[in-house]
Amino acid sequence: MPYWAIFTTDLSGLVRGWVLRAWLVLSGLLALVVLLDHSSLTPAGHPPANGVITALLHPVDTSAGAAHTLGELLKSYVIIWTTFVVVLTGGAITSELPTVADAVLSRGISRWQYFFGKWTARLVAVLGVYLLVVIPTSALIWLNAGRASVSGDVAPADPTASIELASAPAELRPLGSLDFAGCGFAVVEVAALLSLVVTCGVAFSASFEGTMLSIAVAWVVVYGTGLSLSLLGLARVSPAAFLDRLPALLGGDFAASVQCWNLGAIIGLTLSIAALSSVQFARRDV
Amino acid sequence: MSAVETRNLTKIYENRHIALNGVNLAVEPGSVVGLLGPNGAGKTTLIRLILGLHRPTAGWVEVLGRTMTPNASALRGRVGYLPTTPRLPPNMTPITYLDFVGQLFGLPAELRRPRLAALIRAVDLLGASSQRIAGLSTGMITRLGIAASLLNDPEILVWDEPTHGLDPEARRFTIDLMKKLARERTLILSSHAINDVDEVCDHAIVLNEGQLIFHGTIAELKGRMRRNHYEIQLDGKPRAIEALRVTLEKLSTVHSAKSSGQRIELILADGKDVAAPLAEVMMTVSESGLGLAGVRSLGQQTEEAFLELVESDQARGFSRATERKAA
Repeated sequence: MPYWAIFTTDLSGLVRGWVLRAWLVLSGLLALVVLLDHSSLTPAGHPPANGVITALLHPVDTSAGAAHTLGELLKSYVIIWTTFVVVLTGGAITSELPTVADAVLSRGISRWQYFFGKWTARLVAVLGVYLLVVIPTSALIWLNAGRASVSGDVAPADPTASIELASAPAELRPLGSLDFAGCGFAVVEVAALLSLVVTCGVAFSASFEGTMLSIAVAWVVVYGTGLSLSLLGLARVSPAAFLDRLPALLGGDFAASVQCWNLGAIIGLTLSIAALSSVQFARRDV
Repeated sequence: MSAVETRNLTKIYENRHIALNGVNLAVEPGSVVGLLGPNGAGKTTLIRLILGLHRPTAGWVEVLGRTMTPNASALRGRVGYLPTTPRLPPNMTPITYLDFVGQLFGLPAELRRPRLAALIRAVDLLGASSQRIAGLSTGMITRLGIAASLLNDPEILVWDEPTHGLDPEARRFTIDLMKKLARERTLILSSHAINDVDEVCDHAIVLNEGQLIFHGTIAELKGRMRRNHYEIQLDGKPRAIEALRVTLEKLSTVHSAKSSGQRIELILADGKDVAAPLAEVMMTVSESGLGLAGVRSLGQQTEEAFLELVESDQARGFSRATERKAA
């Protein structure tokens, strides 16, 4: 029950707060832009647009395929909305430090329960907003892709067209079409990356005294990791490399074992950071 | 089994500040203990170590026979804590906060809700129960803190400066509540208000500069004071009072006499019996023709005893460490 009390109180506080609401509205608006962009695209076979920034500056880019469009939406969560995630999570514990000893930790609750209550509440909030926007948007892009294929050169003209198209071997599908399993992997992997960012934010929040410092350090670490991996010659495992591969993954050009390994590595890293951070928090004076 | 026991309890903050140094004490179940000491003596640090909010640098704390740690949630569930001027979540109301605290203690709703309602009524917060905590006065927040400390029906109560910042009415309410609670559970009361400790507690712990300098009954603390320290209150002209002071100081049974306004403070010469010297002083006063308004023993005051204890500890200074080493 102590864990549940922390979880529900924190989650309801987040839902009532402006940061989560603003993020939901802004990411919803961006998804709408992406969707409008996609609804006006040409059927298939065109080269992809240049990326998130281009998509923002030129939202109605008719050259993008469904895989590229959904890829752009997913990229926005890793590149742009990560800042919101850091802000949401970097103050999870530091913002309560003035009251946490008197009001919470002096009662019948362990440090583990408090830490995991906070961590899971932030995870649910972030993944909730992400899935709330991404799942309907993906579904609409999927349906639109099906209609586009029906009116195009290669697809059969019946309602199951998009499904048949998706289940066809990747090399037989037009560029930009979507693969169901690939979409599943992409959405889950981005969710895993967001979970990693949430965990980093809460971990720094459990380690520092000030909210601003915690957010700043988390932001530098999260964005600096990709750059550091590139500088160390490990660009292949960087988030940027994952984002570059997204359209191919969404189009069905992937090996399931590699994706499972990637997912396992991200989840393993996330759980390790959470475990180490909770141990560190349990040893801290409040 | 002691309610609270510490062995060699030491806390050093960031290798810079020694807040507590080798404290050994045992608080017996059912006792009412006053935790005394000047500012920075280590009282709050000791309380935070007892509650597992801080980790000892060395030594250990046992509460109800089990080691207290930051993760000892079940053990903390048997302790009620009231911090000095509690800092509580400003956006909650008294009801939502107490409900939240009840959940932290793992109390089921059917037990939690009636208990919090009864406590809100008992601490007279019924009228403010739907207000945000940010809008409550210091006294109201303290009363809410009192309710929160009692919500889990604890075996041990640890109250840190409960009368701090309260008006006389709220202070009287808190003292009366402490007296009532002290009848049925162990109470550790940290306070600067020595009169409160004197009124409520039967035992005292005195800390100075992180060291335990006294642990025993209030009677023993008072017994440490000189019993030959008196103050006589007079009615007369200042010149006559000063003349009386000079006369008294010449008596062989009087060690020293100081006048201050209408009062003369006397320290009688060392000796087991104070009745005879006191009788001689009274005779001298009577012969002076001044009116005697009152006689007061200063030696029996807890505050005097406490101050003397702290002063003598500070005067001993360096020898303390060598004594400890020799022991």
